[in-house]
Amino acid sequence: MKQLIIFEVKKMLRKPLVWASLIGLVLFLAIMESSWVVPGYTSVVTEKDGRPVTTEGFEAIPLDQEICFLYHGPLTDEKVRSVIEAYDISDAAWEANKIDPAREAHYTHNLMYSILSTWGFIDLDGSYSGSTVEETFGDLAPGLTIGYSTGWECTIYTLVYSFLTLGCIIVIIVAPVFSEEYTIHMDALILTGIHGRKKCTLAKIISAYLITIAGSVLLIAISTLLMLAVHGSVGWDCSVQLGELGIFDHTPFHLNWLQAYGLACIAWFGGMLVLTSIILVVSALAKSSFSALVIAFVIYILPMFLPWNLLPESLELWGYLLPVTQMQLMKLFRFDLITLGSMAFSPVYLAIPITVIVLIAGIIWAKKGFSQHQVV
Amino acid sequence: MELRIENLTKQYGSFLAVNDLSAVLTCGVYGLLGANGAGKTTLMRLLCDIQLPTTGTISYDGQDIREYGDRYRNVLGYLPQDFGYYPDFTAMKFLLYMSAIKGLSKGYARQRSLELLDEVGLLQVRDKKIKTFSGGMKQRLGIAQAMLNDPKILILDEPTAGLDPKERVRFRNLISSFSRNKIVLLSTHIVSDVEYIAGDILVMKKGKFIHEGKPDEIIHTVDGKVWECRVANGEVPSLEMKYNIGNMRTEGETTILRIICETKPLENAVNAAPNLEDLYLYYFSDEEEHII
Repeated sequence: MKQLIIFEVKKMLRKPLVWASLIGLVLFLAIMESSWVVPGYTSVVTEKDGRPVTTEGFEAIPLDQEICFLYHGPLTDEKVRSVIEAYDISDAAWEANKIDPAREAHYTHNLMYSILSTWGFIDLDGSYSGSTVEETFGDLAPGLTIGYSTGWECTIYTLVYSFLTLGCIIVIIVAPVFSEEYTIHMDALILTGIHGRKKCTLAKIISAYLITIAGSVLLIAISTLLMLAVHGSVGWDCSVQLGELGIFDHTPFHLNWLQAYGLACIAWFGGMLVLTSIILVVSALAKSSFSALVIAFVIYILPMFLPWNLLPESLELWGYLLPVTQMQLMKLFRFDLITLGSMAFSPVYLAIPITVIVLIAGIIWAKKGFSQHQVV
Repeated sequence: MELRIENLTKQYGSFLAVNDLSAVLTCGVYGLLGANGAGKTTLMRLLCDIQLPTTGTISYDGQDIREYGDRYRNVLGYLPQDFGYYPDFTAMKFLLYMSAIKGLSKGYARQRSLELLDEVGLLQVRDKKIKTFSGGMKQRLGIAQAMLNDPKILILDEPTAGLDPKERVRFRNLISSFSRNKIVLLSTHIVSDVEYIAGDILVMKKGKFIHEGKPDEIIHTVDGKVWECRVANGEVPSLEMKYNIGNMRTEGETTILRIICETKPLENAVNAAPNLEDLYLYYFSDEEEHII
C-alpha cells in the first residue's frame, strides 16, 4: 500500500502544469506575505520638527507595538479619548506638509488611531466624535480588548487568499487522479490488476488527501512562523472586531485573534478536505481529465459568485459553508453563535461534521466510481 | 482450467457488439480473427471483467468471474488495444508500478521486471522514459506488463500492432514458450501471427463466432474457393472490380492472380491450396471499417 501511495503521489505531482501552479502559489504567497505580513502593512505617522513623518516597514513594527502596548486591554471611553488626544498632530504640522488638516482622519497615526477611526470615534478633522463604546458596539462593548493585532489579522487575511489559490491548485492536482487513467487508457490495466479496484483506488484517494493536508499544513506553518518572527504572538487576546483591516468587524460575539485563528484553521482544513472529496468524485465519474478539470473548477469557483445573501438567513449560512465561501471566512464569521440546549458555538464548527460526512461519502463514491468504471 | 462463455451478449444502444456467444476455452493459444467492428475488443473486455455484459455469463473453473473478483484478476494478464502509459515513467518504474497493482512483492517485482524487460528486448533502455520509446517499444513494454504476474489467462488485443517482423517473431516465440498450461487469447489482423502460434482459431463476425477449430480444420472450410490464374495485365483492373483478389504477382505482360470465389472465376483458373489469409479474405472482404 505504501508503495502504491508513493507511486500515486509522484504521478500527481510530476506534471509540468502542477509544477507551474505550485511555483505560482509560492510567488503569490511571497507577494502576499511581503505586502501584508513581512514587513507588513504597518505604518506610523508621528510629528517631528513640526512635520508629520511616516514610518513604514520593519521600523514601523516596534514603533507601533510600543504605542499599542500603552493601551493594550479593555476598550473604554477613557481609552478612546486618550488615544485620540495623544496622537492629534497639530494643524501646523499638516499644513507644513501641504495636507488639509480637515482630512486628518484619513492619515493613519498608528493602529490604535486607525481602528478608532474605522469605528467612527474620530471626525474627519481628527477630533473625538463623541461616540461612546457602548453606543458603537452595543452588547459587545463590555469585554472588547484592544491592542496590537496586525500580525494576526494580516496573517489571516493573507492565508484566506493563499487558501483560495491552493484550492485551485488542488483542483489541478486531484481532478486527473482517476479521469486521466480513462484519458490515457490506463484504466484497463489498473482495473485488471488484483489490487487495481481496492488498494490502488484507495492509494489514489489517500494520496489526494495527503497532498491536500500537506499543502494546507505547509501554508499555515509558513505563514504562522513568519508572523511570529516578525510580529510575535502579541495581540492574540485582542478582539477580532478591533482589527485594522476590518475583516471580522461584523462578528456578533466575543472572539479573540487566537480563537479566530483556530476557527479559521477549521474552516480552511474543512474546506480543503471537502473540496478534495468533491474533486475525487468528479474525477472518478468524468469521462476525461479535461472534463473533470472544468467541472471541478466550476464547482469550486461558482459559489463565490452566487447571491447567498438573497436567501433566508438559515439557508444563507449553508451557502457560506461551501469550500470556497467557507475558506473566505469573512461572511461565515458574521453569523451569530448557534445555540444547542445549553451550548453555544460558532457556525464555523458546523464545518467539522460536514467535512466528516462529505469525506466519507466522497471516499465511498469515488472508490465505487472508479472500481465499477466501464472501460470503453 | 477452463474459461466458459455462455450466451454472452453486449449491446450498445441498438448495436450488438457481441451476440449470444458461447465457447469453452481450455489451456492453449487461441487466435481471435475478425475484421474491425467484429466485436473482438468488446469480447476481450468482457473476459477481463472491465465491461459488464448485457446478458450471459463468463465463468472460470465453474465460478462466475464477477464472483471470483480479485482472485480472477490475480490469474489474469491483459494487454488492451489502446495501451496507455505514463510518459514520465521509465520502463522499469512502469513495470514496478504495475507489479504493485498486481500484488507482487517488492523484491520479486524487481527480479520479474528485469527478466521480462530482457525477454522483450528492453533491458538496455529500462531507465529511459517511456515518452522516448517508439511504438514498437511501447508495445513490447505492454506485453511485458501483461506477463508480470505469470497469469494463467493471458488476453492480448492486437499485441503485434506496431511491431516490426523481427519483433513479431520474438513475440511469437515468447508467447509459445509462455503458453504451457495457460489460456492465451490473442486477437490480431496479422494472420500469420495466428497461423504460427495459435492452436485454435476463433473467427468472429458481427459479434458471433462463425468458425472455431484448429487452423487446418478452419482453412478447409474454404477448400475449392481459392483459385489461381494468369491473365493479361490489362485485364486486372476489371477483374479486381469483379472478384475478391487475394494476391497478385506481375510477370512481364501477365499477372498471376489469386482469387477467392465460390465458383471457377475464369476458364484457365485452377484450384489452389487455401491458407489462413484466404480464409480471412473470404469472410471479411466485404466488412466495413469501423471500430468498437
